[in-house]
Amino acid sequence: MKIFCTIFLISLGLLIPQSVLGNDVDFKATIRPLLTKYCQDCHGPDEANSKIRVDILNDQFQGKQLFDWDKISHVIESNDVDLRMPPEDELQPTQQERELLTTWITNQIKTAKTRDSVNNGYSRRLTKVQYRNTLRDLLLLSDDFTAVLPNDGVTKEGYNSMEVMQVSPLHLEYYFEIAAKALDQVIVDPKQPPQIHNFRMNLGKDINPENFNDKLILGAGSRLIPVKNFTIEELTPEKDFPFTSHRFQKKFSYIEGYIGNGTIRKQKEFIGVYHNVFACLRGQGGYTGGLQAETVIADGLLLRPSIPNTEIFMMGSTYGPSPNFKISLRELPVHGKFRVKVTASKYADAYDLDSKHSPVDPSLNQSTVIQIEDDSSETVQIPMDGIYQVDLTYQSTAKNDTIVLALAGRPQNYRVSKTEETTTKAFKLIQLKKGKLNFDLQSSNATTVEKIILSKLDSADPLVATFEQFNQRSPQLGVYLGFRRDCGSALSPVQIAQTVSSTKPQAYYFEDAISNYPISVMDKANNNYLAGVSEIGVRNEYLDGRAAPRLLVHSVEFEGPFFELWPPKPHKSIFIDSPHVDSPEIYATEVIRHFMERAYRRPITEHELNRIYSVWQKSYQASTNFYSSIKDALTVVLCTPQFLMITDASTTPASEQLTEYELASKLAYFLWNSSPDDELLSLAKAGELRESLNKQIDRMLADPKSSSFFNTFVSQWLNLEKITTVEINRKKYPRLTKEVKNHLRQEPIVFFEYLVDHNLELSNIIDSDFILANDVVASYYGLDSQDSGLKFIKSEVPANRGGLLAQAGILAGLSNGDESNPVKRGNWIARKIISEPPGEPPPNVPDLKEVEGDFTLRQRLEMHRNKKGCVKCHTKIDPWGIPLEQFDAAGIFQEKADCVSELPDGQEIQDFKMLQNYLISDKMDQIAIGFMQHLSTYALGRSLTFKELDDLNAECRDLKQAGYRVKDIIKSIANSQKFQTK
Amino acid sequence: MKKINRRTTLKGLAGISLALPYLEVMGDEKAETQAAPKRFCAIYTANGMSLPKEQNKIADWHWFPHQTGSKFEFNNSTRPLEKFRDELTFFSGFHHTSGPKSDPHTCSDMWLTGAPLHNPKPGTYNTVSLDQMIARHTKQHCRQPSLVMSIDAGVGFTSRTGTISYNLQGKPIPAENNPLHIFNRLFMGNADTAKKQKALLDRKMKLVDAVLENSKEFNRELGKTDKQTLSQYLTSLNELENRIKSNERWTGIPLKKQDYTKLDFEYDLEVDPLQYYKTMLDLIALTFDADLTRSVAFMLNREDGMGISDTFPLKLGLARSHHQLSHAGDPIGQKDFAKYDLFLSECVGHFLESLTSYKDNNGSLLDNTMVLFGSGASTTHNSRNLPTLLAGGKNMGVKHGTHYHKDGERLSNLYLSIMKSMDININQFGESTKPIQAGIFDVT
Repeated sequence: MKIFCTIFLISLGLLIPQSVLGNDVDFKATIRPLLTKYCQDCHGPDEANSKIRVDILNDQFQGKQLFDWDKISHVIESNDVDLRMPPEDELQPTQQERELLTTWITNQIKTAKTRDSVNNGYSRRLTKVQYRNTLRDLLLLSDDFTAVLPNDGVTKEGYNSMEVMQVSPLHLEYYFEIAAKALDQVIVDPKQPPQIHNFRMNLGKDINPENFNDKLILGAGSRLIPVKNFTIEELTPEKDFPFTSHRFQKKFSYIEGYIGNGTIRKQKEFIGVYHNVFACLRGQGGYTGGLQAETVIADGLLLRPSIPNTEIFMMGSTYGPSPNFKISLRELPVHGKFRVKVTASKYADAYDLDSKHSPVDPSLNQSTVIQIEDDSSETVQIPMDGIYQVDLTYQSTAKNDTIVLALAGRPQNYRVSKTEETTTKAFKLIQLKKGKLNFDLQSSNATTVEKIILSKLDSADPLVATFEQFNQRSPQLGVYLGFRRDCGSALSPVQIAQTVSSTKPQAYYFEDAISNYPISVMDKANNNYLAGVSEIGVRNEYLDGRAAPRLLVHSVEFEGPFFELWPPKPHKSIFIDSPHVDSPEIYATEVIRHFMERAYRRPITEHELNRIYSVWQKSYQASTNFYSSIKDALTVVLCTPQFLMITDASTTPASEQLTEYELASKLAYFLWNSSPDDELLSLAKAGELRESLNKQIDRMLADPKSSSFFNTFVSQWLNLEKITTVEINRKKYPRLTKEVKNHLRQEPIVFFEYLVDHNLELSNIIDSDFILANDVVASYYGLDSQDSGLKFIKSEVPANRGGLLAQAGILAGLSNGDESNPVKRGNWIARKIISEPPGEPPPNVPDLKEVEGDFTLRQRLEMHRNKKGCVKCHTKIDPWGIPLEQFDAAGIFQEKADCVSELPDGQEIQDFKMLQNYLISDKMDQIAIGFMQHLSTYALGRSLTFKELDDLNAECRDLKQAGYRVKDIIKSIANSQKFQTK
Repeated sequence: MKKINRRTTLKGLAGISLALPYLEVMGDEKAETQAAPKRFCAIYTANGMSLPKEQNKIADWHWFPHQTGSKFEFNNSTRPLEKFRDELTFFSGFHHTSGPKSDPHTCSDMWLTGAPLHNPKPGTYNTVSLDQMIARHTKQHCRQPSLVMSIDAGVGFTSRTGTISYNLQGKPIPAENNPLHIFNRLFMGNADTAKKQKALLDRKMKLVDAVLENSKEFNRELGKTDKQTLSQYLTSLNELENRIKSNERWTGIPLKKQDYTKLDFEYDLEVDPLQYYKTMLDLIALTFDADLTRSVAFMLNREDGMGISDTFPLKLGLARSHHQLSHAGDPIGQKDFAKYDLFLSECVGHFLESLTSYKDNNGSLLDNTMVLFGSGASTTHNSRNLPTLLAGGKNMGVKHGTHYHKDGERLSNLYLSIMKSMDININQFGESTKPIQAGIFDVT
C-alpha cells in the first residue's frame, strides 16, 4: 500500500493547486459526508477496495493514513478515466465538491508534512545475516551455527524491515541453543592439550614402493588411483604449545563388499592405512574432444577443468563433475578449524590441435626429425627457443590407442586410431628451449611410431598466437569438503578458488570451520566398508571451456583442528590478561564487563553488569568451575535483547539526535551487517564519530566486511533470488547452467560495488560503457579475450550491454526459464528502477494462454491489458518490459523481437537502446529518488514515513549537481535526519 | 544444502533402555489418556488441483470423484488413496466466502483461518489458524503444543507466505523445513538419561529466567522507546519459559521406545522430492506415535511459483512448473497437472499407510488422527469449490466413505465440526455459521 502511493509524491509539487480555502473547513460537517456519499460503498467496511476504508479515516493526518489521503486526492482530481474516482458509472460529485475535497486534503497534507511525527526510537531485531556476522566478529568464530534459524520476513519491497521481522518462541529456543554451541566452541580448557590430525597425500606415478595387494573398493562409479601412485605421510606440525598427534586407524573389521544397497560376504579384517585413505576419481572419466580428464605423471596428478554434470538425472551425472578427484578417508576431526594446503603448479602444457590441422612438411621447414628405432629414451638437439608443432609418423592396428611422449620430462598423451598405411599427423603445439632435449616414448605393440617431427613455427604463424593465448591462461584451484554418498557426494567449496599461475610448485591454503561442511558422523554400529567416508575434493575449476594449461597437483595436506596458538585466540579474547586471574570474583567481573561492552556495542550500566554477574556467581557457587560458569553468564548475554536488537533509546516523543554509540551501531549494521569495530566504538567514546562520519564511511566501504552490505542490499533491491530459483529449459538454453547462473547472479553485485568504490554516477545502472566480468560472464556475453579466471574485473562493454537492465542474470531471472516475459520485466523496472510500482492484481485474473486464437505474445498481452480491471495496472507495467523483448529468456540479445512500446507518459520507444537513452535523459531524477528510497529503507531497517519520503526530493536536489554519484548518495543517507535522529 | 547428515548416524539410537510402557509413564493422567488421544494434521498443497475441462476429454483425471455419496469412484489422480476408501471423505463445493474477494495468491494464508484478508480488522492481517486453535486445547497432553512444517523455512514474505499456521494474534508462525533439524530438536534433545535431562533443563531454566529478568528490567529502563519488537520478544520468552516448564513435567518420562531407522535423511531435493515428503511425513507419524504433539500443519508447496516446490513437477519429468501447470487449460497441461496431483496422492497415501502401521489406543494412529488435505484454490486463482479431503479419526466418531457435496458450503463449518469431534468446545471459528449437519460427524 505504501509503495503504491509513493509514486504520487514524486510529482506532488506539480499536482497541488494553490490553496484558496483556509483550514476552517470542518471535517465532520463537510468532508466526512462527501466521503460517505461518494466513496464508502466500495471503500468501507464491506468491500474496502484497494484496502482503503474512508469510514476509518480521520482528520489527524498521521502515519499510514497520510498515504491513503494522498492517494484519494490524486484519484479524485485525475483526468485519466482509468484512474479517476468515483468510476464513470457511479454517482459523481459536483466539480465544486471535487475541488473542496482535493484542496482540503492537499492543505492538510502540507500541514502534516511540516509537523514532525512522533519519534520514539525503536528496537529492531538483528536479521539472520546480521546475527551471524555479529557472532563471528564478537567471538572470532568461523563456525556458522545460525542456519537452523527461521528465515526473516521480507516486505513487498524486498527488505527485512522491522515491520515484518518477528521474534517467535522458536527464535528464542534457537538463540539459546546457538549461544551455547558457539561458546562451547570458543571456550577451551587451556590445561588440556589439543589433539591435532596432520597428514599429507603425495601424488606421482610409481612413487609408492610399498607392495599393497588388497583390492580396494569404494562403491559404484569409484575409480581409484592405484596405491603405487600415491603415499600417505602422517605428520607432526611444529607448534609452540604441547599437543598430541592423532594417527590414522590402520586396522578395521568390516563386512566387505557392495551390491546395490546390500552388503555381502562375511566379517573381514582389513589392515593398512590404504583401507583408511583413498585417492578417488569418482565418475565415468572421459572428457570432451576425446581427451583424458586426469593423468598421473611422475610428480603429481594432472587435472583438466571439472566439467559440471548435466543436472539431469542419469547414472553418470550423479557422480559429480568430470574429473572429480578427492581424497576419501574415514577420519576427519568433528570440531574446530581446519587447513588444507595444496601444493600445485600450472603444467607447462601442450596445446592440442584438432584433426583439421595438417602436419608441417619437414623439407620446407628446418624441422627436427627424430627417427625411432625402438621404444627408448634418447636426447636430441633443439636449435632455438620457440613454439613447436609436434607431428608423428606412425602405423597402428588398434582402433584406438594412446602413445605417451614425454618431451623435456613433460609427458603428453597422443591418441591415434587405426591406419591402413604409415601416416603423418599434426598433434600438438609445445614450447621448447634451445639445447639438449630429453624424449621418452611409450607405445603399445599395436602402434609403431617411426618419426617424431618437431617444427618451429614462424612467429607470424597464427598458431603461435593461439598457443600464447592458451599459455597465458591459468588453472583455478578449488578445494571442497564433504562426505561420500552412494550416489555422488555432498561436497561444499572451502573458500573461493585460487589462481595457480606459476609453473613452479607453490603452496595454496584453504581454511574454515569444519562444522560448516557436510561431515559424515560415523556410526560405530554400521559395519559396511563404505559407511562414514569423508572427502576432501580438489578441482581445477571449470570456466568457459576454452583450452588452458592443466593443473598439476603435487600433494594435499590436511591439518585439523588447526590452532596457531593455545589457548586459541578466540578463547583469549574472552579471557583477557589481568593481574586478577587468581581471584575468581574480580576476574569474573572483568571478563564479563569486557565481553558485555563488546556484545552490547556500548558502555554497560552497573545494573546490567550486576545482573549478569549474579548469573555467574550462582553458577560458580554450584559448580566451582570457572570456565563453565563464565559460559553460563555469557550465554545469557548472547540471549538478551541488548545483544539481539539494535536499539535507539528515546526519552521524549520529540525528535532526538542518536547518541554516538547508537550512530556507530546503526552505521555498522548498514555498511557491514555487523557490529561496530574498535575504531568506531572509540570514536563514539570520544564523541567524534559524527564529525568524522564521511571519513568512516570511506573506511568502512573499503573494508572486506562491506561485502555483506553489497551482497544483501543488491540481492534484496534487485530481487536476485529469482536468478537462483528460475528453472532454465536446458534443452533450449544449454549454456545457462547452474554454475553460470551463480556467476551471473554475482554480476550486479560486483557492478554496484564498483560504482560505489569509484563514486560513479547513478546513471550507470541504466547504461554504462563498461561491465564487470569474470571469464565465465565474459564468455557468456561472447567476449573471448578476457583472462582473469574467476575474478571479476572491469571489461569492455559487449554490444547491447551496459547497465543493470541488460545483465543476463537479471533478464533470465525475470523469465520463466523458457520464454521471456515482458510483464515480469516491466513490473521489475517499475518497482525497482523507476519506482512507479503498479497495484496488486485483482482476484480471478484469467490466464494469458486462455485467449483463444493465433496471436503473438504481444497481441495477447494487449488483449489482456485492455480488459476492464487489468488496464489500470498493465499500462504501467508492460510498456517498460516490451523493449526488453530484445533479450530472450536466457538474456541473450536477439535482433528480431517486436519491441516497439508506448510508455505510460506517451513516449514512444523503438527498442532497448532508446529506452536506456530515454531513462537517462528524462527519468534520472525519478530514478535517483527511487534508488534513495530503496537504500534508505535498507539502511533504516524500516519503511519510510510520508515526510521522510517527501524529504528525499530536497536531498536529491543537492546530489543532482554532481550527477548523483553513488558513494555520495550513501553518505547523504547516513547524514540525513532520518538516519541521525530517533 | 550445506549440512547433511547420514541416516546411519541415527541407527543405534532406536532403543533407549529406559523406555517404559506407554500408559505407565502417564501417571495420574492415566484415566484421561486411556480414552484415545485426539490428533490433527493439516496438509496443504498450493495452486489447486487439476479439474480438467470437459472439452479436453480427460474426465478420469479430475481430482474430485464424479459421483457423490457413498457410491463414488476414485479417478486416476487420487487412485493411491483408494485403499483408504472407508477411512476418508471427499468434500466438494466448499469455500471461504472471503476467498473470492481477496488477492488469490493469499489463499494459503486463509486456508486454515477463514479470515477476511481483503478487509482485515485494523492493525491485523490474519486470524488464528485451525491447527493452532486445536493446539491450544491439546497442548496440555503433550510435550510440544504444535509442529509447523513447510517446504520453505520461515514465514516467506507478506502475501506470499511460507507457512499456513497463524498464532492467536494472527501472526504467521515460522515453519521448519529441515527434517533432520526437526528430528534433532524433538527427539535427540530427549535422548539423554532422565537425570542428565533434568540437569540440562534446570540449567536452561536458570538461564532463561536470568534473560527474562534482565529483559524486563531493560524494558523498564528504555522508558518511552517504542517497544513493539521488545514486547514480542518478551512474549516469546515467556512462551519459551512455559515450554521448558511443561518439558520439566515430562522429564523423567523418557520418550517412547521407537524405531528411527525408517527415517531417511539422504534425500536430494534437487532430484527426488518424493523422498523428502516421505521423510517429513514419516517424521509426523513418529511424532504422533511418541505423542510429542497432537497438532501438526505441513505446507507441501507455495502459491504462485514461489520456492523450490514450484520446480518439483519438472524434476518429476512433467513439462511445466507447478504454478504454470495450475494455469494450464490445454489437455496436455491439465493432464500433467493431474499427474502432479497423483504424485501428491502418493505422498498422502504413504502418510495414511504410515499412520495405519502404528498401534495406538483403541486401534491405529489413523483412527485417532484427523488428517485434513486440501488446497485454497480449486484451480488457478479460483477460490470456490476447494479440493478438500478428510481422513482418519474413526475413534472420534467420524463416519467416512463418502463424497459429500454441497455448493457454497463454508469450509469454516467443516473446521468447526472437526474441532467438535475432538471435544473442543467452541461454537464459532473463522466465518463458520454452524457445524456440518450430515452423517459424517457424530456430533450434536
